[in-house]
Amino acid sequence: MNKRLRYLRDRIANASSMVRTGDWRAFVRAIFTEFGHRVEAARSWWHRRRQLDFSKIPTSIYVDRRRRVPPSPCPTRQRRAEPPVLQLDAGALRDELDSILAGIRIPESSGE
Amino acid sequence: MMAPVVVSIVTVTYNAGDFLADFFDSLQALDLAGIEMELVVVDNGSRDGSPDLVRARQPRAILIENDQNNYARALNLGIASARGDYIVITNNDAVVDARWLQGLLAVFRRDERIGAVQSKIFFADRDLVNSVGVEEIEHYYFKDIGFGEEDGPRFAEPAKRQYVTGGSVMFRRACLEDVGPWDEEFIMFMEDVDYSVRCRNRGWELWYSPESVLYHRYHGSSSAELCDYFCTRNRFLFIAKHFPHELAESIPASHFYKKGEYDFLYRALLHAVRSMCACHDAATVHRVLRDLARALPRYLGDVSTYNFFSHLQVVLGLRRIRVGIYDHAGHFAGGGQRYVAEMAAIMQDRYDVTYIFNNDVSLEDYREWFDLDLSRCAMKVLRIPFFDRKKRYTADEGMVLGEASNVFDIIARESLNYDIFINANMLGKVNPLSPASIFVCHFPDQERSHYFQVDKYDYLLINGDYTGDWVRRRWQLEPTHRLYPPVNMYNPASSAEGKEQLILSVSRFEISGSKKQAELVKAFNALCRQHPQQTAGWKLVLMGGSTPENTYLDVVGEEIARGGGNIEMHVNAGVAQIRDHYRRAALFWHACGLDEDRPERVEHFGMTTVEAMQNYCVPIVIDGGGQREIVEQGESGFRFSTLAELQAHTLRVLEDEALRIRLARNAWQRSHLFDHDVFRDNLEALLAEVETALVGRDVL
Repeated sequence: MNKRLRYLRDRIANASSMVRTGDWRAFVRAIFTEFGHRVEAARSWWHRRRQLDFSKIPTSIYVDRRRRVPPSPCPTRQRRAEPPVLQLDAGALRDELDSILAGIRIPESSGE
Repeated sequence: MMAPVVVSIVTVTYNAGDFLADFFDSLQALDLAGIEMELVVVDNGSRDGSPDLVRARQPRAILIENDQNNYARALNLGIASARGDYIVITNNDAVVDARWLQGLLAVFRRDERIGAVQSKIFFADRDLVNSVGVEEIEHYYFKDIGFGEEDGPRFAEPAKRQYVTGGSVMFRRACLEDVGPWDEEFIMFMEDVDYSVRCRNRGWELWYSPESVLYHRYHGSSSAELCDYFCTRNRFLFIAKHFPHELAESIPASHFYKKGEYDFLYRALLHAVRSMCACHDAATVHRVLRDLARALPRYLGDVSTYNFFSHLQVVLGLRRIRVGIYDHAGHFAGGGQRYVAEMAAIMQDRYDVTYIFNNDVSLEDYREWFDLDLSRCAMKVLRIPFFDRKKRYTADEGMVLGEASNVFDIIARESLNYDIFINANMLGKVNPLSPASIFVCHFPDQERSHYFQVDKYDYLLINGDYTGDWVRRRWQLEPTHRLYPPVNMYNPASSAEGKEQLILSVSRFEISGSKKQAELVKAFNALCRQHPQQTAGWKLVLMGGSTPENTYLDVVGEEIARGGGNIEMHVNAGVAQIRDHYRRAALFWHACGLDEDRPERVEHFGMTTVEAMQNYCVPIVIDGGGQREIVEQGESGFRFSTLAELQAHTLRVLEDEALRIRLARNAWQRSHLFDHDVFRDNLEALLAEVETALVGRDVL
């Protein structure tokens, strides 16, 4: 059976089961979930069509672009390096970096 | 008569054997009137015999062998050995014109403030200009002046330049001594642009001489890819050193960004900021960091931006590396938990380790279960609402399918707080967001399905080749490291000779019967009935843990009751009792996986087999799963596929004491491959690799 038809059949079977058992809360929730999926699918299609940057897609806050895009073969290797000798106050620098980190808002869920 | 001017020619070779002969020939033809020439060759680890060629063709040359393939470092080594009043740096995939040196010296005579003079460089194979100086095109990208153009009147006069190329440039010694060594962070490419700026900052002028001519083979000894990588990488370094306030604005013009090479972009910026922090004042550094905090989310996304600043703290040595270990089944005492707890015990003194659980458990429990002190680890419990709502005690990823969002994102979000995130127990749906991540796989129980994330981990650790094989088949992923579980059951009181007539089997009494104790009982009873003489005095002891009300115990008990052999069953025996049985037992049986066609039901590794071998028990074990890696057939024990084979191998050992002793000693020897010291060494090698990726710098 066609994948889409199978999907539709499963959704109808679920919905009729919820109606039969009177689980109206689940029924309403399922409608909203399904609606969310459809909106998301349409949005993804639109983003792909416009070839938008991943980071500009509102729902893709969790996308780590470094990992999503396969890295190019790197011509170098890495060798362990000692930290540099700083010309400034290390404590103040750490505080500055902490403050920057505190200002970056990452939600608890990817929303993907 | 005036004393000759001493000119040192410093040239760096790297697999330049094809070019050196022509280069040396052209040096022979130089007009050296009033010049005493010295040749300094620095080899960057050529593998084509370039140093031998130099010795043969230029026996008077000073030859230095650089231990790193770093062009800027090679220049420093060469310059330090040169004694000339003037020092020329030149490519050697080139030939020089007879007036090459005279043309350069002529320009120096114009003014004492001239610190460096560049030659006119042509392409060797075309009658076109390669370089008559260097200029900025845009956004801190540079190009050779005259590149690919016909020679003409506009290049016919000496001229002042902003930047000169290191392809053929003569320096006044005083200039080099004043400006200092070349910056080895550049490795290769753009080190000359950096040096040009530094010369001008010290008040030296840079010039070009049309009379000094060199014919260069473009990319003769370096590839275009290498050139683009280093030019793009070093551009950030250059900006960070000299124009730090423009670093954030320079990102969109970077070739890394334009080509979608975000990993390179991230690393190059990290490296550049690291260098900036070492050479600029606090006000400048703080301002640039804030600019980057505003700009980076646009180019790398929020997660990588967060990683960047957190990673920077480690790279700058401002804090220790943080490790987060997540074990979704950490509230059970199992082999997988022990494996990772051993890792944590090794790591806790080196890093700030936090154990993350999704259920109530304490690290004191780990001391009780595994006798491991994890007191230097922190602990955190993150409950997953999805499973709490369903009142599930374990986070079964198989239940997570079509949810609108990944229910394990709460763990993914937590992983951002660490530099190294270790997913300890095969939960394949946790997205790792830390700069480095390790996925520990004891067996790929689940197929790839919704929210599969394992392919996003930097390191995929397996506990043996059997698991590795199934990781490839089920997930189409290549494991990066194999780390056998640590086994430490050595007992100085054990020996091959002092054994009793005892066959031991140690494994959990699973309700499903997957460990096959009932089959072992059946085999032993049959063996005793068929060979009463050979089995006289022998006993089978079954040991293992069990949950309360385990019906499988009844199954095994009924099989024992059928009679035939002397069989004992010890359920939930203590460690001391098990240790004592290992010491006394001559043989060890293990049948988990017998007649199974599902790979997850076969013993993935088999720690108890190794424990037995560490105590000179001869293992006779199932020919499947991880047991194949542990026991070599006929060398350190036997493997069987059917109960008849188990009986036959057992009988053979019972009848031949010399064979038993030989196998026992071999088994003991082989068990060393899986002991705690090997585990520690291999883990430390892996951690060294991860650390290098975190805080390392480029080398060629």
